[in-house]
Amino acid sequence: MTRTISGVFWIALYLVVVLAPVGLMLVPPVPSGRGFWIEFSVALGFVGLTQLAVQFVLIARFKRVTAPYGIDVILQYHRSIAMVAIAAILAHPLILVVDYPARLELLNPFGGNWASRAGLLSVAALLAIAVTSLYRERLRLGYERWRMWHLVLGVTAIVAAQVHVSLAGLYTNTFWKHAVWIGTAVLMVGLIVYLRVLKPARQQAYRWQVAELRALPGDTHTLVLEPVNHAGIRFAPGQFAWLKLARSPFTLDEHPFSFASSAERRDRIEFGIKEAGDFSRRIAAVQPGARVFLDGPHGAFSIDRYPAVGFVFIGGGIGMTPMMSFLHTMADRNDPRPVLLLYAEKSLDAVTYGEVVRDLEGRLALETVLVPEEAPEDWDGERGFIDAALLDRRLPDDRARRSYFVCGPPAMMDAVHDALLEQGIAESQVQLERFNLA
Amino acid sequence: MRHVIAHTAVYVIATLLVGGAAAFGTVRSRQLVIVDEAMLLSRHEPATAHEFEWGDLGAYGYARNCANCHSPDGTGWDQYPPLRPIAVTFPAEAARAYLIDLHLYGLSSARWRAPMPRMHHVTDAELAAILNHVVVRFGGADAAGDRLFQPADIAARRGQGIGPRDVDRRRPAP
Ligand code: HEC
Repeated sequence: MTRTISGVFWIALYLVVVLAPVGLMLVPPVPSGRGFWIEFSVALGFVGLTQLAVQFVLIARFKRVTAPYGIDVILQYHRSIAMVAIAAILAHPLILVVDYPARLELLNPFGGNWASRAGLLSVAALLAIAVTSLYRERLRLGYERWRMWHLVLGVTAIVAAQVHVSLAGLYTNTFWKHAVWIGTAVLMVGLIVYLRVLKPARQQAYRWQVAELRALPGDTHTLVLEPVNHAGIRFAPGQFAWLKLARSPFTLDEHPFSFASSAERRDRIEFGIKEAGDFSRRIAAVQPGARVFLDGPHGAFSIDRYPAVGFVFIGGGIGMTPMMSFLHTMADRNDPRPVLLLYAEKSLDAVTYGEVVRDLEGRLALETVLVPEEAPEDWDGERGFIDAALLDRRLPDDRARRSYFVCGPPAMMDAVHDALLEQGIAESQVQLERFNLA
Repeated sequence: MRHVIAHTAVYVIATLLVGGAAAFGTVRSRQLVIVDEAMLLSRHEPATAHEFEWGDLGAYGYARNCANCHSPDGTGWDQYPPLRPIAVTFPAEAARAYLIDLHLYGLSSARWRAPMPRMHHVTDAELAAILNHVVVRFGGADAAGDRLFQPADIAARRGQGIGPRDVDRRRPAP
């Protein structure tokens, strides 16, 4: 309940913030109102700028702010709303030029004035952000490099926009209005300092070290960490943490991974890491004793958040790691609630957690259905993809009352989500973990 | 579930933003907001020339419409011209017309690399008061002279259908 209240509270605060500039612009003395299109475009510029500012709060990983929704959802929101903000800001100069074509000369960076140049710089930075984020892979931009640029461009965009407002702004015509705008911008840039300097500095005292690295089938490793001189981390099953594998916590090279171990063990935690990118390949070569820093726990994909009489876990590939955390935690708690586990994998030899799951079956009311995409002739279990027909065959009789947790490749999650709805499962019973946090 | 909500939130907020901006545009363009003294004054245009009290309205109108570009004392900066020299040419008939037109239709010239925006939304009374403020306080014209701008002078030059370049061509030689 408190989560709902704080969720509503943050949304309400957000709406106030979003519309605040429009209010601030109407504090006297206000300039004489101009034509509709000019005022509309100016307002678009201002609300776009506030949205930009809000982005810095969204990505700062404040647990209190993100906990009600889950940080993955916050980041998904960040990606979409930032595009809306960029569109609003782009519309601002376009409308102005169409309204009064003489303004075209302001779009020439060598002409115009400092106000227009600052505006142009901000727009250029925003366009660069949009392009590098949407087409990062096609541009062959490495993740760390992109992150670095994202940060630099983001700060440039907001600072330049602020300079533009200060120089051009009819609406920042008093000292206090000026101060409010500049103060907010400074605060937002300060959040970057918090996230990239202060937070890592605090992590310095909460070091972890690699205790063990176990190879599992399917090019996957279990990374086991132990705390160095502290009590460890308290997390909910299914949550994740950002992991830095470096001598110092001041690196941009960090990646999110789900906890795979029991939430009842704070001082010996495990992550499941599949060899895919550069980073996970580096992990595969790590030696025991290596230093690791964690930022977490984050995420809202957890059985502890949703009361249920029983569960259906549907995991695909490396998307099984949060399910492992669920199962280990339930086993440690002697949780009697029934669980159906649908486990999708490319082939039978790639089934990473096959053995572990078999062990857990002895300790839980757990039924497992393996669904390999391809299987030899003599395999008499399920095969192919998890579709409506398979669900219909396998889901238990009390299917309508169970809680569903789905994590896997995006295409699989979409398909399973649709198939579940088709089976008459309510949307509110289905939790998805879209592991797309870049 | 959470993702669906986040998706909806994006649409809701986007609509709110554009809607809020449009509402703002409407409210502002109809001059609905913040009724202050100067605003009231400029709406109830005075009946006769003698009653036209431009002093406060001129200073106020200049501060809120012009000062951010031409600076509070009219000295100009960056790509914004100083107003003192133009204000000194005040007595000439052609300069009077030019001064009015550049506000009603904007001004774009090769002299400065930025255009002067149109100010046709400013009421006749407020614009006349601003022009008087400029020519008297910056240009040193006679504050009691009968050559001051009257609201009717502004009204007479509206609706010519010319653009910022035309205004520049009509600029009298200084
Ligand atoms: C957005 C900035 C801006 C605002 C606001 C603005 N101006 Fe201007 N103004 C300019 C620019 C730029 C020029 C030069 C245009 C050119 O020559 O191309 C100019 C030119 C002028 C000129 C003509 C100068 C000359 O040498 O011909 C006068 C007079 C003037 N402005 C008065 C005003 C007054 C009075 C106001 C308020 C009602 C005002 N301006 C508001 C930017 C502005």
